[in-house]
Amino acid sequence: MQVMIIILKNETLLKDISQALVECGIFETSILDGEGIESSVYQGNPVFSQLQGLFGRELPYNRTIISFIPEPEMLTDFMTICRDSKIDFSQPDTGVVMSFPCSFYLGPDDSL
Amino acid sequence: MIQLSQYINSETLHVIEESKHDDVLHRLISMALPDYPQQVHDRAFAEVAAKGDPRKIHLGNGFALVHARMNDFNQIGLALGLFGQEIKVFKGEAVHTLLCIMIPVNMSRTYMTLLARVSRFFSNPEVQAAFASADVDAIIKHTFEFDAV
Repeated sequence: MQVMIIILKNETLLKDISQALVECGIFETSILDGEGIESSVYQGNPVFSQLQGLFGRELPYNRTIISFIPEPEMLTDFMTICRDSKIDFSQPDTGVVMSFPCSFYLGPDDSL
Repeated sequence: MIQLSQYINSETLHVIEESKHDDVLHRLISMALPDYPQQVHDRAFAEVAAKGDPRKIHLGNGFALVHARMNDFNQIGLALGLFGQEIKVFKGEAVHTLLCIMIPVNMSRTYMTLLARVSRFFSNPEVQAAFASADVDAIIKHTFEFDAV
């Protein structure tokens, strides 16, 4: 069992990623609105807000996707589909994906 | 991951001569549920033919599907009707391929997974061309290639 987190910077990819999750049978998923750390620090600090104006960067909002993955091959399948769908997490504007082991899960039987 | 070849193969692909809505549905339902009695076919037909958009879905690129969720069976039944040309089977765009999918009530998630996989499969222009020309051999070849990735 694993938990996967995607911090998706390119929100236009959300539909393809959601479809990939469903295609792999990964249903225990929550999609949250998020913002990058830069956004938070710009707003709270007059020095950093000046830097934002200097660099002209847009506030980095993102979608954070948290998924429970019951079987390891589901993660492999998901990454394969992302690759085939040209979703490339090595590109700077796509986002990041990570997973870590899950030692405990409790939910209704039909959720798996 | 679901193997598409389990659902799209020589037993589920059918070249359809009929063009009338009811005739097409009757034929595909009987092929999607080959091991079930006529009463089940009739109930499935009533379910699919009932007025209402959710049971008939245009998928784009010449594909459409009809489906029904029922308690009468315990596995997903599927049949694909290939018209070999674009025809108007029901309201909306003309289609060259009609999927008929019968879903047990307790397999909704499996169905969603299957649909997601089928949608990605159908997005390939070579696959679209194979279905549009009702080329069963090419469709089966593409299905195996898709599963092999």
